Amino acid sequence: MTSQEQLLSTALHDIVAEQPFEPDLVAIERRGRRLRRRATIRFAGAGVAVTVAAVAIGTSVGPRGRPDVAEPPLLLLADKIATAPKVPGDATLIKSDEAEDSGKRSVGWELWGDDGTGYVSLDRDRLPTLVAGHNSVREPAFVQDVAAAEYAAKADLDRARERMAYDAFGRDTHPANPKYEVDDWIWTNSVNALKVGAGNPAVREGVMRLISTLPHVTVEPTVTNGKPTLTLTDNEPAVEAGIRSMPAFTQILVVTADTGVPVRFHGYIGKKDTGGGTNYEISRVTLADVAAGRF
Amino acid sequence: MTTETRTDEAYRDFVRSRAAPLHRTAYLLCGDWHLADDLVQEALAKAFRHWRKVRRADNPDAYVKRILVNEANRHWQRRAAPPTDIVAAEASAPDPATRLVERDELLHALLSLPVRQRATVVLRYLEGLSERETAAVLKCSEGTVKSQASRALAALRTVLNREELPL
Repeated sequence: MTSQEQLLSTALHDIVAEQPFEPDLVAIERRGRRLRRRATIRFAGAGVAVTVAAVAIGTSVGPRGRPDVAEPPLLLLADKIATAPKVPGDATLIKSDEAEDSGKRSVGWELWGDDGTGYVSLDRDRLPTLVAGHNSVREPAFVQDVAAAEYAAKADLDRARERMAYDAFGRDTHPANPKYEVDDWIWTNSVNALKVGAGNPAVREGVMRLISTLPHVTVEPTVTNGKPTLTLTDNEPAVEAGIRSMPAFTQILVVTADTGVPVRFHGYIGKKDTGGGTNYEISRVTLADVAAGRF
Repeated sequence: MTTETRTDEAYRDFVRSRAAPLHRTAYLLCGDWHLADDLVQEALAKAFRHWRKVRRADNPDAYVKRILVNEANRHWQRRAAPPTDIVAAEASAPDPATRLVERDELLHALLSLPVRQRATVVLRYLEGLSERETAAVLKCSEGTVKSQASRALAALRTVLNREELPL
Protein backbone atom coordinates (compact mmCIF):
# COMPACT_ATOMS: atom_id res chain seq x y z
CA MET A 1 0.00 0.00 0.00
CA THR A 2 1.38 3.45 -0.87
CA SER A 3 1.61 6.18 1.76
CA GLN A 4 -1.39 7.92 0.22
CA GLU A 5 -3.45 4.72 0.34
CA GLN A 6 -2.39 4.22 3.95
CA LEU A 7 -3.42 7.77 4.75
CA LEU A 8 -6.80 7.25 3.11
CA SER A 9 -7.34 4.01 5.01
CA THR A 10 -6.53 5.68 8.33
CA ALA A 11 -8.79 8.63 7.57
CA LEU A 12 -11.71 6.38 6.60
CA HIS A 13 -11.36 4.34 9.78
CA ASP A 14 -11.23 7.56 11.72
CA ILE A 15 -14.47 8.82 10.16
CA VAL A 16 -16.44 5.72 11.14
CA ALA A 17 -14.78 5.04 14.50
CA GLU A 18 -16.85 4.27 17.55
CA GLN A 19 -20.26 4.40 15.92
CA PRO A 20 -22.38 1.80 17.71
CA PHE A 21 -24.83 -0.36 15.78
CA GLU A 22 -27.11 -2.99 17.20
CA PRO A 23 -28.90 -4.96 14.47
CA ASP A 24 -32.59 -5.60 15.10
CA LEU A 25 -32.56 -9.35 14.50
CA VAL A 26 -36.31 -9.79 14.94
CA ALA A 27 -37.07 -7.09 12.34
CA ILE A 28 -34.41 -8.44 9.95
CA GLU A 29 -35.74 -12.00 10.07
CA ARG A 30 -39.34 -10.79 9.72
CA ARG A 31 -38.32 -8.79 6.64
CA GLY A 32 -36.39 -11.79 5.27
CA ARG A 33 -39.50 -13.97 5.54
CA ARG A 34 -41.58 -11.32 3.78
CA LEU A 35 -39.04 -11.25 0.93
CA ARG A 36 -39.35 -15.03 0.61
CA ARG A 37 -43.10 -14.74 0.26
CA ARG A 38 -42.83 -11.95 -2.34
CA ALA A 39 -40.38 -14.05 -4.33
CA THR A 40 -42.91 -16.89 -4.35
CA ILE A 41 -45.21 -14.87 -6.57
CA ARG A 42 -42.42 -14.13 -9.04
CA PHE A 43 -41.26 -17.74 -9.25
CA ALA A 44 -44.81 -19.09 -9.50
CA GLY A 45 -45.33 -16.92 -12.58
CA ALA A 46 -42.01 -17.96 -14.11
CA GLY A 47 -42.86 -21.63 -13.55
CA VAL A 48 -45.72 -21.60 -16.01
CA ALA A 49 -43.52 -20.37 -18.83
CA VAL A 50 -40.81 -22.91 -18.05
CA THR A 51 -43.26 -25.82 -18.07
CA VAL A 52 -44.71 -24.86 -21.43
CA ALA A 53 -41.25 -24.48 -22.95
CA ALA A 54 -40.17 -27.87 -21.64
CA VAL A 55 -43.15 -29.59 -23.24
CA ALA A 56 -42.49 -27.88 -26.55
CA ILE A 57 -38.78 -28.60 -26.66
CA GLY A 58 -38.35 -31.78 -24.66
CA THR A 59 -40.60 -34.23 -26.53
CA SER A 60 -41.24 -35.46 -30.02
CA VAL A 61 -43.46 -38.23 -31.34
CA GLY A 62 -41.69 -41.50 -32.03
CA PRO A 63 -42.47 -44.08 -34.71
CA ARG A 64 -45.05 -45.88 -32.56
CA GLY A 65 -46.87 -42.71 -31.59
CA ARG A 66 -45.33 -42.58 -28.10
CA PRO A 67 -43.44 -39.54 -26.93
CA ASP A 68 -39.79 -40.25 -27.71
CA VAL A 69 -37.95 -38.66 -24.81
CA ALA A 70 -34.29 -39.35 -24.15
CA GLU A 71 -33.72 -40.47 -20.58
CA PRO A 72 -32.20 -37.61 -18.59
CA PRO A 73 -28.46 -38.09 -17.99
CA LEU A 74 -28.84 -38.25 -14.21
CA LEU A 75 -31.40 -41.09 -14.44
CA LEU A 76 -29.06 -42.95 -16.79
CA LEU A 77 -26.28 -42.47 -14.25
CA ALA A 78 -28.58 -43.62 -11.42
CA ASP A 79 -29.34 -46.83 -13.38
CA LYS A 80 -25.62 -47.35 -13.96
CA ILE A 81 -24.85 -46.94 -10.25
CA ALA A 82 -27.67 -49.36 -9.31
CA THR A 83 -26.25 -52.16 -11.46
CA ALA A 84 -22.57 -51.61 -10.65
CA PRO A 85 -20.83 -54.15 -8.42
CA LYS A 86 -20.74 -53.14 -4.77
CA VAL A 87 -17.45 -52.01 -3.29
CA PRO A 88 -16.89 -53.51 0.19
CA GLY A 89 -16.70 -51.22 3.19
CA ASP A 90 -18.85 -49.46 5.76
CA ALA A 91 -17.56 -45.89 5.60
CA THR A 92 -16.67 -43.07 3.21
CA LEU A 93 -13.21 -41.53 3.45
CA ILE A 94 -12.95 -38.03 1.99
CA LYS A 95 -9.84 -36.00 1.32
CA SER A 96 -10.98 -32.44 0.65
CA ASP A 97 -8.66 -29.87 -0.85
CA GLU A 98 -10.20 -26.44 -0.43
CA ALA A 99 -9.20 -23.03 -1.81
CA GLU A 100 -9.16 -20.38 0.91
CA ASP A 101 -9.92 -16.70 0.27
CA SER A 102 -6.19 -15.95 0.29
CA GLY A 103 -5.72 -18.36 -2.61
CA LYS A 104 -3.97 -20.87 -0.33
CA ARG A 105 -5.29 -24.42 -0.39
CA SER A 106 -5.99 -26.41 2.74
CA VAL A 107 -6.45 -30.15 2.98
CA GLY A 108 -8.84 -31.83 5.41
CA TRP A 109 -9.95 -35.40 6.10
CA GLU A 110 -13.44 -36.65 6.85
CA LEU A 111 -14.62 -40.15 7.58
CA TRP A 112 -18.37 -40.85 7.54
CA GLY A 113 -19.62 -44.24 8.64
CA ASP A 114 -22.77 -45.82 7.26
CA ASP A 115 -23.87 -46.03 10.91
CA GLY A 116 -24.05 -42.21 11.13
CA THR A 117 -20.73 -41.63 12.88
CA GLY A 118 -18.36 -38.98 11.57
CA TYR A 119 -14.71 -38.13 12.17
CA VAL A 120 -13.06 -34.94 10.96
CA SER A 121 -9.41 -33.91 11.13
CA LEU A 122 -6.88 -31.80 9.27
CA ASP A 123 -4.40 -34.58 9.91
CA ARG A 124 -4.97 -37.97 8.24
CA ASP A 125 -2.85 -39.68 10.88
CA ARG A 126 -5.25 -38.62 13.64
CA LEU A 127 -8.22 -40.49 12.16
CA PRO A 128 -7.32 -43.92 13.68
CA THR A 129 -7.20 -42.40 17.17
CA LEU A 130 -10.54 -40.64 16.65
CA VAL A 131 -12.24 -43.82 15.39
CA ALA A 132 -10.71 -46.09 18.03
CA GLY A 133 -11.77 -43.59 20.72
CA HIS A 134 -15.32 -43.32 19.28
CA ASN A 135 -14.74 -39.58 19.08
CA SER A 136 -17.52 -39.01 16.58
CA VAL A 137 -18.89 -35.63 15.48
CA ARG A 138 -22.39 -36.92 14.92
CA GLU A 139 -24.33 -34.62 12.62
CA PRO A 140 -28.04 -35.57 12.65
CA ALA A 141 -28.79 -33.51 9.54
CA PHE A 142 -26.31 -35.54 7.52
CA VAL A 143 -27.79 -38.80 8.80
CA GLN A 144 -31.25 -37.66 7.70
CA ASP A 145 -29.99 -36.43 4.33
CA VAL A 146 -28.29 -39.78 3.71
CA ALA A 147 -31.42 -41.70 4.77
CA ALA A 148 -33.55 -39.60 2.39
CA ALA A 149 -31.13 -40.33 -0.46
CA GLU A 150 -31.21 -44.08 0.23
CA TYR A 151 -34.99 -43.90 0.29
CA ALA A 152 -34.98 -42.16 -3.12
CA ALA A 153 -33.00 -45.07 -4.58
CA LYS A 154 -35.70 -47.61 -3.89
CA ALA A 155 -39.01 -45.86 -3.26
CA ASP A 156 -41.44 -43.22 -4.41
CA LEU A 157 -39.60 -40.14 -5.67
CA ASP A 158 -42.27 -37.64 -4.61
CA ARG A 159 -42.08 -38.87 -1.03
CA ALA A 160 -38.28 -38.92 -1.27
CA ARG A 161 -38.33 -35.25 -2.34
CA GLU A 162 -40.40 -34.41 0.73
CA ARG A 163 -38.01 -36.29 2.97
CA MET A 164 -34.90 -34.69 1.47
CA ALA A 165 -36.41 -31.21 1.71
CA TYR A 166 -37.81 -31.39 5.22
CA ASP A 167 -36.44 -34.25 7.32
CA ALA A 168 -33.25 -32.48 8.33
CA PHE A 169 -34.38 -28.87 8.58
CA GLY A 170 -38.15 -29.01 9.13
CA ARG A 171 -40.68 -26.78 7.45
CA ASP A 172 -40.70 -23.02 7.63
CA THR A 173 -43.23 -21.29 9.80
CA HIS A 174 -45.36 -20.00 6.94
CA PRO A 175 -47.94 -22.45 5.64
CA ALA A 176 -46.53 -23.69 2.34
CA ASN A 177 -43.00 -23.50 1.09
CA PRO A 178 -42.97 -22.58 -2.61
CA LYS A 179 -41.75 -25.25 -5.02
CA TYR A 180 -38.61 -23.34 -6.04
CA GLU A 181 -37.61 -23.15 -2.39
CA VAL A 182 -38.29 -26.83 -1.80
CA ASP A 183 -36.22 -27.59 -4.93
CA ASP A 184 -33.46 -25.42 -3.53
CA TRP A 185 -33.41 -27.36 -0.25
CA ILE A 186 -33.43 -30.67 -2.10
CA TRP A 187 -30.36 -29.50 -4.01
CA THR A 188 -28.52 -28.31 -0.91
CA ASN A 189 -29.32 -31.37 1.20
CA SER A 190 -28.66 -33.78 -1.67
CA VAL A 191 -25.19 -32.29 -2.14
CA ASN A 192 -24.55 -32.86 1.59
CA ALA A 193 -25.81 -36.44 1.36
CA LEU A 194 -23.70 -37.13 -1.71
CA LYS A 195 -20.57 -35.96 0.03
CA VAL A 196 -20.92 -37.82 3.31
CA GLY A 197 -22.44 -40.91 1.71
CA ALA A 198 -20.40 -40.99 -1.48
CA GLY A 199 -19.00 -44.42 -0.69
CA ASN A 200 -22.48 -45.88 -0.55
CA PRO A 201 -23.93 -46.58 -4.04
CA ALA A 202 -27.54 -46.36 -2.78
CA VAL A 203 -26.88 -42.79 -1.64
CA ARG A 204 -25.36 -41.81 -4.99
CA GLU A 205 -28.21 -43.44 -6.89
CA GLY A 206 -30.83 -41.71 -4.76
CA VAL A 207 -29.15 -38.32 -5.04
CA MET A 208 -29.00 -38.57 -8.85
CA ARG A 209 -32.71 -39.45 -8.95
CA LEU A 210 -33.55 -36.54 -6.65
CA ILE A 211 -31.46 -33.98 -8.53
CA SER A 212 -33.02 -35.16 -11.81
CA THR A 213 -36.32 -33.69 -10.51
CA LEU A 214 -34.86 -30.18 -10.17
CA PRO A 215 -35.70 -28.07 -13.23
CA HIS A 216 -33.14 -25.37 -12.43
CA VAL A 217 -30.15 -27.74 -12.39
CA THR A 218 -28.39 -28.22 -15.72
CA VAL A 219 -26.22 -31.23 -16.51
CA GLU A 220 -23.29 -31.17 -18.93
CA PRO A 221 -20.79 -33.86 -19.88
CA THR A 222 -17.28 -32.64 -19.03
CA VAL A 223 -13.76 -33.95 -18.60
CA THR A 224 -11.95 -33.46 -15.29
CA ASN A 225 -8.32 -34.52 -14.81
CA GLY A 226 -8.62 -36.52 -18.03
CA LYS A 227 -11.66 -38.50 -16.87
CA PRO A 228 -15.28 -38.19 -18.05
CA THR A 229 -17.42 -36.29 -15.59
CA LEU A 230 -20.82 -34.66 -15.37
CA THR A 231 -21.05 -31.04 -14.24
CA LEU A 232 -24.28 -30.21 -12.44
CA THR A 233 -24.93 -26.46 -12.26
CA ASP A 234 -27.42 -24.76 -9.99
CA ASN A 235 -27.91 -21.19 -11.20
CA GLU A 236 -29.72 -18.53 -9.31
CA PRO A 237 -29.95 -15.57 -11.67
CA ALA A 238 -29.20 -12.02 -10.59
CA VAL A 239 -32.13 -9.74 -9.99
CA GLU A 240 -30.75 -6.35 -10.92
CA ALA A 241 -33.38 -3.93 -9.71
CA GLY A 242 -36.25 -3.43 -7.40
CA ILE A 243 -36.81 -4.61 -3.88
CA ARG A 244 -35.74 -8.15 -4.77
CA SER A 245 -32.35 -7.21 -6.20
CA MET A 246 -29.84 -10.01 -5.57
CA PRO A 247 -26.51 -10.98 -7.07
CA ALA A 248 -26.37 -14.13 -9.17
CA PHE A 249 -25.24 -17.18 -7.26
CA THR A 250 -23.95 -20.32 -8.88
CA GLN A 251 -23.11 -23.72 -7.45
CA ILE A 252 -21.43 -26.45 -9.43
CA LEU A 253 -21.04 -30.07 -8.50
CA VAL A 254 -18.77 -32.24 -10.62
CA VAL A 255 -19.24 -36.02 -10.37
CA THR A 256 -17.60 -38.91 -12.18
CA ALA A 257 -19.68 -39.84 -15.23
CA ASP A 258 -19.86 -43.56 -14.48
CA THR A 259 -20.16 -43.70 -10.68
CA GLY A 260 -21.56 -40.34 -9.52
CA VAL A 261 -18.76 -39.90 -6.98
CA PRO A 262 -18.21 -36.17 -6.30
CA VAL A 263 -14.98 -34.70 -7.63
CA ARG A 264 -15.47 -30.99 -7.00
CA PHE A 265 -17.92 -28.52 -5.47
CA HIS A 266 -17.86 -24.76 -5.86
CA GLY A 267 -20.37 -22.08 -4.82
CA TYR A 268 -19.62 -18.56 -6.01
CA ILE A 269 -21.07 -15.15 -6.75
CA GLY A 270 -21.82 -14.40 -10.38
CA LYS A 271 -21.77 -16.66 -13.39
CA LYS A 272 -18.08 -17.14 -14.02
CA ASP A 273 -16.37 -20.06 -12.30
CA THR A 274 -13.30 -18.55 -10.69
CA GLY A 275 -11.66 -21.94 -10.31
CA GLY A 276 -11.85 -22.11 -6.51
CA GLY A 277 -13.95 -24.47 -4.45
CA THR A 278 -13.21 -27.87 -3.00
CA ASN A 279 -11.74 -30.88 -4.76
CA TYR A 280 -12.59 -34.31 -3.38
CA GLU A 281 -10.82 -37.65 -3.38
CA ILE A 282 -13.23 -40.25 -2.08
CA SER A 283 -12.70 -43.90 -1.20
CA ARG A 284 -14.61 -46.72 0.47
CA VAL A 285 -13.05 -48.09 3.65
CA THR A 286 -14.07 -49.92 6.81
CA LEU A 287 -14.11 -48.20 10.18
CA ALA A 288 -12.23 -51.17 11.66
CA ASP A 289 -9.42 -50.79 9.12
CA VAL A 290 -9.12 -47.06 9.80
CA ALA A 291 -9.07 -47.66 13.57
CA ALA A 292 -6.23 -50.12 12.99
CA GLY A 293 -4.38 -47.65 10.76
CA ARG A 294 -4.87 -49.83 7.64
CA PHE A 295 -6.10 -47.36 5.04
CA MET B 1 -30.90 -28.43 19.65
CA THR B 2 -32.53 -29.12 16.27
CA THR B 3 -30.68 -28.60 13.01
CA GLU B 4 -33.08 -25.82 12.09
CA THR B 5 -32.28 -24.02 15.33
CA ARG B 6 -28.58 -24.45 14.58
CA THR B 7 -29.12 -22.95 11.13
CA ASP B 8 -30.90 -19.96 12.66
CA GLU B 9 -28.14 -19.59 15.22
CA ALA B 10 -25.49 -19.68 12.49
CA TYR B 11 -27.31 -16.84 10.74
CA ARG B 12 -27.59 -14.85 13.98
CA ASP B 13 -23.92 -15.38 14.75
CA PHE B 14 -23.10 -14.10 11.29
CA VAL B 15 -25.26 -11.00 11.83
CA ARG B 16 -23.80 -10.32 15.27
CA SER B 17 -20.24 -10.55 14.01
CA ARG B 18 -20.69 -8.72 10.70
CA ALA B 19 -23.39 -6.07 11.32
CA ALA B 20 -21.10 -3.39 12.75
CA PRO B 21 -18.46 -3.56 9.95
CA LEU B 22 -21.25 -3.63 7.35
CA HIS B 23 -22.77 -0.58 9.03
CA ARG B 24 -19.49 1.35 8.77
CA THR B 25 -19.18 0.37 5.11
CA ALA B 26 -22.78 1.43 4.46
CA TYR B 27 -22.13 4.82 6.04
CA LEU B 28 -19.21 5.54 3.75
CA LEU B 29 -21.29 4.48 0.78
CA CYS B 30 -24.20 6.78 1.66
CA GLY B 31 -23.00 9.44 4.16
CA ASP B 32 -25.95 9.07 6.51
CA TRP B 33 -25.98 6.88 9.62
CA HIS B 34 -29.76 6.41 9.60
CA LEU B 35 -29.77 5.43 5.96
CA ALA B 36 -26.82 3.11 6.71
CA ASP B 37 -29.03 1.40 9.35
CA ASP B 38 -31.70 0.76 6.70
CA LEU B 39 -29.26 -0.42 4.04
CA VAL B 40 -27.63 -2.92 6.40
CA GLN B 41 -30.96 -4.21 7.72
CA GLU B 42 -32.19 -4.71 4.14
CA ALA B 43 -28.96 -6.44 3.05
CA LEU B 44 -29.11 -8.78 6.04
CA ALA B 45 -32.80 -9.53 5.42
CA LYS B 46 -31.93 -10.53 1.86
CA ALA B 47 -29.12 -12.70 3.19
CA PHE B 48 -31.66 -14.32 5.55
CA ARG B 49 -33.93 -15.11 2.61
CA HIS B 50 -31.08 -16.97 0.91
CA TRP B 51 -29.24 -18.11 4.01
CA ARG B 52 -29.03 -21.79 3.14
CA LYS B 53 -27.21 -20.81 -0.04
CA VAL B 54 -25.25 -17.93 1.42
CA ARG B 55 -23.69 -20.14 4.12
CA ARG B 56 -22.41 -22.48 1.43
CA ALA B 57 -20.73 -19.70 -0.55
CA ASP B 58 -16.94 -19.49 -0.68
CA ASN B 59 -17.22 -16.25 1.19
CA PRO B 60 -20.64 -15.42 2.70
CA ASP B 61 -19.31 -12.06 3.81
CA ALA B 62 -18.48 -11.06 0.23
CA TYR B 63 -21.96 -12.13 -0.86
CA VAL B 64 -23.61 -9.90 1.74
CA LYS B 65 -21.28 -7.00 0.90
CA ARG B 66 -22.37 -7.34 -2.72
CA ILE B 67 -25.99 -7.07 -1.64
CA LEU B 68 -25.12 -4.01 0.46
CA VAL B 69 -23.34 -2.25 -2.42
CA ASN B 70 -26.33 -3.04 -4.67
CA GLU B 71 -28.68 -1.59 -2.08
CA ALA B 72 -26.63 1.60 -1.87
CA ASN B 73 -26.54 1.88 -5.68
CA ARG B 74 -30.27 1.38 -5.85
CA HIS B 75 -30.73 4.16 -3.34
CA TRP B 76 -28.63 6.58 -5.42
CA GLN B 77 -30.44 5.63 -8.59
CA ARG B 78 -33.66 6.78 -6.96
CA ARG B 79 -32.16 9.94 -5.45
CA ALA B 80 -29.89 10.80 -8.40
CA ALA B 81 -27.34 12.61 -6.20
CA PRO B 82 -25.44 12.02 -2.96
CA PRO B 83 -26.39 14.09 0.10
CA THR B 84 -24.92 17.50 0.73
CA ASP B 85 -25.88 17.66 4.41
CA ILE B 86 -23.41 15.13 5.78
CA VAL B 87 -22.96 15.06 9.53
CA ALA B 88 -19.50 13.61 9.77
CA ALA B 89 -18.89 14.88 13.29
CA GLU B 90 -21.54 12.70 14.95
CA ALA B 91 -19.20 9.89 15.78
CA SER B 92 -16.38 11.98 17.14
CA ALA B 93 -17.49 14.96 19.17
CA PRO B 94 -14.31 15.31 21.26
CA ASP B 95 -12.05 15.85 18.24
CA PRO B 96 -10.57 19.25 17.39
CA ALA B 97 -12.72 21.39 15.10
CA THR B 98 -10.16 21.51 12.33
CA ARG B 99 -10.06 17.75 12.09
CA LEU B 100 -13.85 17.57 11.84
CA VAL B 101 -13.75 19.89 8.88
CA GLU B 102 -11.17 17.69 7.17
CA ARG B 103 -13.20 14.55 7.80
CA ASP B 104 -16.24 16.35 6.47
CA GLU B 105 -14.30 17.36 3.36
CA LEU B 106 -13.03 13.85 2.81
CA LEU B 107 -16.51 12.41 3.18
CA HIS B 108 -17.90 15.01 0.77
CA ALA B 109 -15.16 14.16 -1.70
CA LEU B 110 -15.80 10.43 -1.27
CA LEU B 111 -19.53 10.84 -1.86
CA SER B 112 -18.84 12.93 -4.94
CA LEU B 113 -17.07 10.00 -6.57
CA PRO B 114 -18.96 7.85 -9.07
CA VAL B 115 -20.72 4.99 -7.28
CA ARG B 116 -18.32 2.26 -8.41
CA GLN B 117 -15.21 4.25 -7.50
CA ARG B 118 -16.69 4.99 -4.09
CA ALA B 119 -17.47 1.32 -3.47
CA THR B 120 -13.95 0.40 -4.60
CA VAL B 121 -12.41 2.87 -2.16
CA VAL B 122 -14.56 1.70 0.75
CA LEU B 123 -13.94 -1.99 0.13
CA ARG B 124 -10.20 -1.56 -0.45
CA TYR B 125 -9.30 1.03 2.16
CA LEU B 126 -11.91 0.64 4.90
CA GLU B 127 -12.63 -3.08 4.66
CA GLY B 128 -9.05 -3.88 3.67
CA LEU B 129 -10.09 -6.26 0.88
CA SER B 130 -7.52 -7.28 -1.67
CA GLU B 131 -7.98 -6.30 -5.33
CA ARG B 132 -9.15 -9.84 -6.03
CA GLU B 133 -11.69 -9.81 -3.19
CA THR B 134 -12.94 -6.37 -4.20
CA ALA B 135 -13.34 -7.57 -7.79
CA ALA B 136 -15.42 -10.51 -6.55
CA VAL B 137 -17.74 -8.27 -4.55
CA LEU B 138 -18.13 -5.72 -7.36
CA LYS B 139 -18.38 -8.38 -10.05
CA CYS B 140 -15.60 -6.90 -12.17
CA SER B 141 -12.01 -7.70 -13.07
CA GLU B 142 -8.99 -6.95 -10.87
CA GLY B 143 -7.84 -4.55 -13.58
CA THR B 144 -11.05 -2.58 -13.21
CA VAL B 145 -10.53 -2.43 -9.44
CA LYS B 146 -6.99 -1.10 -10.01
CA SER B 147 -8.15 1.59 -12.42
CA GLN B 148 -11.15 2.60 -10.27
CA ALA B 149 -8.95 2.89 -7.18
CA SER B 150 -6.34 4.86 -9.06
CA ARG B 151 -8.92 7.34 -10.40
CA ALA B 152 -10.52 7.66 -6.97
CA LEU B 153 -7.18 8.35 -5.33
CA ALA B 154 -6.43 11.01 -7.91
CA ALA B 155 -9.78 12.65 -7.19
CA LEU B 156 -9.25 12.50 -3.43
CA ARG B 157 -5.62 13.67 -3.59
CA THR B 158 -6.33 17.31 -2.81
CA VAL B 159 -8.24 16.49 0.36
CA LEU B 160 -5.77 13.79 1.34
CA ASN B 161 -2.84 16.13 1.01
CA ARG B 162 -4.55 18.46 3.50
CA GLU B 163 -5.26 15.48 5.80
CA GLU B 164 -1.62 14.52 5.87
CA LEU B 165 -0.60 17.20 8.36
CA PRO B 166 -3.01 16.68 11.29
CA LEU B 167 -3.30 12.92 10.92
